[in-house]
Amino acid sequence: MNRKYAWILFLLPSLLGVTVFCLLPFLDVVRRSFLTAVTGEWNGVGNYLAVFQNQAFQLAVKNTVRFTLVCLPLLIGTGLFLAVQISKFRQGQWLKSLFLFPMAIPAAAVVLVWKMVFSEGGFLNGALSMLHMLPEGGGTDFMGTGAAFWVLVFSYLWKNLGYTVVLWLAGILAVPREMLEAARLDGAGERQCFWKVLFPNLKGMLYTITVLSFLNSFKVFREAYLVAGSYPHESMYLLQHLFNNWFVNLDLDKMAAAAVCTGCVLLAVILLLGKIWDPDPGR
Amino acid sequence: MKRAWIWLLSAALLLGGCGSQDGYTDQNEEGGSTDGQESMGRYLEEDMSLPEGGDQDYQTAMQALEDGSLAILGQNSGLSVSSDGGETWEKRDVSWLQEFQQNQTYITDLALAPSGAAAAVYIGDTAADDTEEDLSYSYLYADAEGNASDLEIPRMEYEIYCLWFGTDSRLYGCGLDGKVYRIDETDGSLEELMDTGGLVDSLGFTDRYLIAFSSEGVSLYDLENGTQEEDKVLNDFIMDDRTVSMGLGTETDNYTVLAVQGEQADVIYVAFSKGLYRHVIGGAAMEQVIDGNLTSLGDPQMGKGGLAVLADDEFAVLYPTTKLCRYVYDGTIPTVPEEEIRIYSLTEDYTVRQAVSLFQREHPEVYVRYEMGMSGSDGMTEEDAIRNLNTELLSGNGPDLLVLDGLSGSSYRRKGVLADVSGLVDSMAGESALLSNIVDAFREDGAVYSLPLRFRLPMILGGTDAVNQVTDLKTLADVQESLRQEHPEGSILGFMTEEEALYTLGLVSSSAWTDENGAVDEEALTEFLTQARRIYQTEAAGFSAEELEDYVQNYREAWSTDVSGEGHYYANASASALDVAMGQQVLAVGSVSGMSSDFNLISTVAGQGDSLSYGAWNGQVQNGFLPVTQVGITEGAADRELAQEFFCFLFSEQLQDLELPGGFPVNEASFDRMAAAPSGQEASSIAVAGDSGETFSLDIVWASEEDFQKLKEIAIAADTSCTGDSALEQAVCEVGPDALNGKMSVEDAVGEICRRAAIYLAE
Repeated sequence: MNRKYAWILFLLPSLLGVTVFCLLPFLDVVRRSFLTAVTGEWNGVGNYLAVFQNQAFQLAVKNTVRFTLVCLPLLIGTGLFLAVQISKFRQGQWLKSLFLFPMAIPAAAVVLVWKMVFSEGGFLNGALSMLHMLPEGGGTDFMGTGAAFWVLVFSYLWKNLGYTVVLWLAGILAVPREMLEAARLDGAGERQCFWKVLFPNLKGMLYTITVLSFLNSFKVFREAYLVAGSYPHESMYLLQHLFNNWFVNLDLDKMAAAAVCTGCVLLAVILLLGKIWDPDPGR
Repeated sequence: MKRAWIWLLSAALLLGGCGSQDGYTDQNEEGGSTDGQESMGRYLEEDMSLPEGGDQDYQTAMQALEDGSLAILGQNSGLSVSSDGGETWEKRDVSWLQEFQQNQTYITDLALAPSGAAAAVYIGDTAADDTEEDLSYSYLYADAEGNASDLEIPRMEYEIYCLWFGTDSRLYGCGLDGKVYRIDETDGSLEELMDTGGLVDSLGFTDRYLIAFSSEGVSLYDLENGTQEEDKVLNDFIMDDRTVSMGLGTETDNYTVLAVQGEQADVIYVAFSKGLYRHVIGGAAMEQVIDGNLTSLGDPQMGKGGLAVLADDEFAVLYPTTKLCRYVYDGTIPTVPEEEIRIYSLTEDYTVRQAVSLFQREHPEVYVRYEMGMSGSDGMTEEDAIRNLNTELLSGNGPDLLVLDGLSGSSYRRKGVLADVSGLVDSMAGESALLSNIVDAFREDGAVYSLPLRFRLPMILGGTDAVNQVTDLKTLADVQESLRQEHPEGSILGFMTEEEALYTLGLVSSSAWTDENGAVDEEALTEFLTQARRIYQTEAAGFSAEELEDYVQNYREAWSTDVSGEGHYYANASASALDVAMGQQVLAVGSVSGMSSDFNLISTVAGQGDSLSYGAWNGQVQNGFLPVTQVGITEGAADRELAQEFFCFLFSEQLQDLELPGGFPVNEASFDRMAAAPSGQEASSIAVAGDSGETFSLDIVWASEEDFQKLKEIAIAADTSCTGDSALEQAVCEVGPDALNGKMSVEDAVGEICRRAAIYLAE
């Protein structure tokens, strides 16, 4: 009897933590999404209607979705490519450590570097000037133009690429060498080995990396906020900016409604990813 | 058993992290009831009379003498000794002080020793010629018997400017370079003890230690071993309370720290704005004995001139020219008053601090807790502070009253955070009646959610014709262009940089940039930038490129050191009026915030010639005023009745009568009382060095009845609050300079400003 239910003891601490610190607060958020912020009066779906009609919310959703759609394929694809190349080297371990380096750099230092590189008098403008590639009228403040979005994309890739490569490498090294050697003996080329043998075996890892990268894409707000504050260029105005500003302006009702919507979308995406990866879990 | 120990240790570890930090013990924290039992006992403040003539003592020294009596030495009242702890005073003859009074010698510092010896720092005398030599410091020492002699302290580059006596009655002095010396009373020779590195504000002594409180912190000198020591706990505790350097750049000398010896040679009592604390030198704790918030110690207008320990663990604190207070322990009252009011402001507000102190003294049964979002010492950002406030408000633990300066008043009003105070405001009648135009400007559909404690008025000074012609920004630009014809060179309005022009013109315009729905009024913004561009370019036409460049560089350096940042926005009309009087510019525009600080100068300058005049200054906003220290009561106030009482106190004549730096009072009776000059303030003079080095001086007289009536007319006509949208103002200040100097067209600038403000307004 005891052995049968021993798993509960292992599960209970984390379940308790998740319940107290995530599930219950989220239930409170759901409750608040139907009330006014301070007075707590019933507002029905008024907050949801206000959120969907809010132009700032529409812009933030658009930018966040755009950011995710651009960054995820780029990160996953580049990571896989680099991991495959590294797996061919014997000194792969050393390179792997090097790739993890960006994760060790504090966000404040990264932000400082970004400012030095991308500001009007920064290194990038200096380099462009040396190459006579600057448009007439001097340098550009890249964080104050549409280029800010791409700076953010670059920042995300730089920060997360190493981690993704390491995960891909772990997946690649877990594929039995014998399978690849057998394929080669059967006359398969490099491309066929990759698509027919290696990649199908990385399916589980692809799911993990996609979910992790998706969640990590929300963390880029920290750099964006430190570089450009609460109101950055409109191209890099993300959902987190909006949530942060709503809290400062005491728009907790709208924030709660938007959080519920975002939570639902995230859950749906993750479930969808799970479904795509494993269409028949009972098999 | 083992398992029990593990649980116990785990609990201890967990709870260990919840203890008080840094060893600071606070009477208020200790005062919370435990097990239902309330902590009892605290010091109460008792007012005692000053010695006769003490209310005119701008220089004083107080000392507990060796025989147990208390003595006060004042430059006007002389030496007074009390053997009953300050109840009655006996005058003693001090011949040298009488001589000083007869010669009208200017005394800059006085010191009194436990033995009865005295010392003074003074500057020449009025009978002598005003030569440079006479303006340097001279020193006098009088022994306990009253035999006085000049103290021949060697002349140094950085002179000694203040003197103190140790517990052994030996004399010490502080140089302007921050060095502390022991002075030989017989020949004036100096022995350097230590270098504090900053300007010394005060010295405190025990039998063993000399403690120097300077702008750089607290320095300690061991008199027995002759070594300089450190006391990190004391230093951190004192410096934590400094938003500005000690004794420097403050509006009052409230930041003075006084220290005297306690029951042992290594125990001191320290009195400053936070209260009175006991500290063992080198120890880890600062024990609160008296809470500054509950007594006059926390009053920003009460400078501290002396601290003494009396018999029966009582204390005496001298507030020069005001009063002497005795602090007596009463064990029958709660340590912390049972009732509490919490008032919150984003940054420290001088007027609120003053109100808290006055209210606290009138209501010892109530604890007024003044909370600041950004104390200046913890690196808290504005956004973080607002987030913390919002968290408290949403959890139902918010303050009872909110000072809305720097906060989004309209947002708090819409969300239902603020209570309607129209009933309270309308009930204020007679001496409590407020200027109805100010109140009505904050009335929305009959409700009033917040009101300013003070207000500033935008005013213009210049040639009568010009002043009469200026009715808005366009006419200001027209008048300026026509004046430029007469004055092809030099300054007209004094706007040498784009920022100055935007800030000053924005004062009377920014609230016109948004419509009733909060959307940007592009037409108004275009008009503003068009006229601001005309004004700036007309101004710049009077200078060469080099002159402008030099000025801009100096301007940026000056503002980069501006701590408050307030000077940026509230361009001061009286400072510009002085430039008009000096002939350095033709017109003066800006805000006026008080009588002695501003308006008297304007009326004096205007009275110098028939051709000069002043009046209300209108920009895009007509009849505007600048609200200062806007206060509202929160809906969630724990004790609404008490909060309302405090709110009414804020607008009572008791507070409103005070001349405070924020602006004019909104209480009508208090406003009217400004017509008469307070005693001793009928006239003053100002002297400034001109650009070419010559000195310009001006005798400023209190505004005449006619001038005051004119001011009152301007004040009661001001019916529109000049409070703009802060995000939009910021966008204008960031983009506007390029529109003014021609790097960008006005249309492009407006587009860029709208784009930047769009997200904020859409949220």
